[in-house]
This record gives sequence, C-alpha cells and structure tokens, in this order.
Amino acid sequence: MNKDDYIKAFRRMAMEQLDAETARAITSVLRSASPRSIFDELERLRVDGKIEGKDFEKLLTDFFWLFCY
Amino acid sequence: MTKRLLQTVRPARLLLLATLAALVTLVLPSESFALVRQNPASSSFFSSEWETCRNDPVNNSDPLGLEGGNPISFLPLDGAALDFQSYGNWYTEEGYHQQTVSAAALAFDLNANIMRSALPDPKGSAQLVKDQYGIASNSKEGAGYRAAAGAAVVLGAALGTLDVVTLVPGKAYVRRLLVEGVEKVPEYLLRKKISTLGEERATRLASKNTSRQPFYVTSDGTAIPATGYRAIGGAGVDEAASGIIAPRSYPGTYVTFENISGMSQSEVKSVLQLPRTPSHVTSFDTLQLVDDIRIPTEYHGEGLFPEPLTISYPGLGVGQASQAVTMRPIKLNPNDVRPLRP
Repeated sequence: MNKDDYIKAFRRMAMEQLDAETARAITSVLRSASPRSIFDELERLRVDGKIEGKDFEKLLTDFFWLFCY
Repeated sequence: MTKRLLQTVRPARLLLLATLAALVTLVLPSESFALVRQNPASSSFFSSEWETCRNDPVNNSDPLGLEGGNPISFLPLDGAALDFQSYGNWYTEEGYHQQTVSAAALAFDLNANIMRSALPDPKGSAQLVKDQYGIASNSKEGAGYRAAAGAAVVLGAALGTLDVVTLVPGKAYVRRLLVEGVEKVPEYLLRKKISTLGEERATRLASKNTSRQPFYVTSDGTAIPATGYRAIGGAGVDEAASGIIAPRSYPGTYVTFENISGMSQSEVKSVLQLPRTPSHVTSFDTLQLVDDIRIPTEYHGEGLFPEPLTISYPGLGVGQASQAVTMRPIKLNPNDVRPLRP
C-alpha cells in the first residue's frame, strides 16, 4: 500500500465511524496535513475511542512506521 | 656612514613593529561582545546568536568560524552554566593554539556519546586537556566532558578545522585542530592510539572506551558516529528487511546514534519518545548519509528549534536519545534487522 491507499482507508473509516462534522474535519486533515499530523490526529481519535477496531489500529501503526518516522 | 647604518636598522625596526602589531592583534580581542546562552530547554543555538559573525565570510572577526557549518554541529550546550561574557577570553586566558591532528585522534576525542553531550549539567564545568600525542581528553569526569566534546563539534564550522573548547562558566578556552579529511576510524586504530599512552592512563581510557565507536569526520569538522540505528515496527520491518528504507517526507527518516540494539522494546520506545512500540532495530553505515544528515527541529519538524536529543514528547517517554534525520534512502544489510527483546 502506498500513502494514498492509507489515506483512502482512513477516510473510509472516518466516514463510517464519526459524525458528519468530525468526519469532514478529519477528511480535511487527511487531505492537507503532513503524515505525522495525520497520525497525531487519528491517534487522538483512537485514544478517545471515536475510531476503533483492530484493522484501524494496524493500519495506523503501519502508517506511522512507513511514513511518519 | 649614517645613511648606511639607517639602511641596516630600518628593516629591523620594521620587523620589530610588525611583530608588536601581530602580538597586539593576537593578545587583544579585536572585538568584545556578550554571548548569552539561553536555557537549554529553548534549544537556542550558537549560530543564531553570533550576530557579528554574519557578513563576515572570511572570519576577520570570527576566527572560530562560528557562522555557517553543518547543522548537525549545532548541538545545544550547557545553557545554564554557559554565559560567555567575553568572547576575548579564549585569547587571553590560555592563548590560541593551532595544531594538526589526525581524524583518529579526533575521533578518540569525541566519543559515541557526543550527541548526549548536549545534556545540560549546570553544575559541571568541562575541561579538555591535550597530551603530547595531540589527544584531547577530559580532566574532569562526567557530563562536563561530554559538554566539552559537544562544544568541539559545535564550534567546528571552519573548513578543515575544529575548535576544541574548554567550557567553564563565563570562559571559553579554545584550541584549533586541523582535521584531515573524511576518514573512518577503525576501533583498532583508537586502541592503538590508547596503547601509546602510559599504562595506567591507557587502562583507564580503554575501560572508558569500550562503548566508543568510530566517527566520520567531515572536512567542515563535523563528527558523525559511523553507525546509525533505527527503531522499526509494523510494516517497517518488512521494508527494512528488503535492504532499503525509503526516504520519508519532511522532516525525513529518523535515525539515532544510540546503540539501542541491547534495549528492550519499551526502553527504545521511551528513549526515542515513539507513539508506537518498535519490534525490531536495524543498524547501518552512516557514510551514505554523511553529507545529508541533520538535526530535526522539535515536534517532528514542526518546532522552531533543533532537537538533537528527544525531548519534544515527554508524555511518550524519558527521551534524551540522540536523533537525526535524512532525506536519503538508507541502505542496510537485511541481516542487520534484529528483533528487540520484549
């Protein structure tokens, strides 16, 4: 998977699990922010329990190791 | 007769005057100004503070060559203790010395903890003393020495030279070393150098040197540990196992010079302040990065000031590990990808 694939997957998960307003905000972040900022924002949502699931956690972890560090 | 005498004396007089002028130039600082180090937490750096160094590319008023240089050189120093009240101290307190040293001696001087040298020790002073072999070593143990070693790198901006500085509050003693090119210094050379010293001293130094590693020393005096390490996890393990780590987008791919291979997964996570726990570590030769590697700014490149030691995310761990970034791909031996102990 390349970075765009990860972004698309994150967007899909955000749309599925978040309310419309938050999902819009996150989509905007996904579109324009740096990989680390994207990670931090999604990590915050994960810690707050707003996006969950093992798939999401694995995706976020891989995204960090491949693009953020 | 008188005319002939004058002709004989005049050159001698001129020589005398020239010598006096040279002495005055050497003994008296051409300019005296205050350099106030800020708190190390602010990570402010020398290069931005030596205002008079700018617009002076030929070092007329900056014989230390402080302007410019590789950013990796700009390690923060002991901010609390360092208050350089007078730039002229380095002339007047000890005098100015210039000598040529081999890169081996230099690498001996600057140990693998050089990045850690940025750790502040407000109570400590640093003193480097040089022995007859041209090797500078610490006359005081502990953080002070490390600070001094860091200072050597900080000030090593002039091409082919490196200024080793003894730092005590309010004073700076400087020796200028002429560094001979980029050279990898094998461990055995360092040990050989040690063996030329007195037995007691050699034993002491050898015992201290067990964890030291060779450095690459660039022509601008920047010393970079020859081995880099990188924590990896998740899909990054497979990537590393392929033998190449692709460059990350800004601020780049993170590496450390700490030998983290003996640490546990949680220890590595803590010292590097990572938001995820790494499962593996890899090591690689830094020669491939030597002219690209630099210190990232804090907060993952979002902050204003360089962060040579991890400090930005205290909530993620204890930090204080060295870090640098590169925009180059990192080539490595897949066999050097090893699991960290749980």
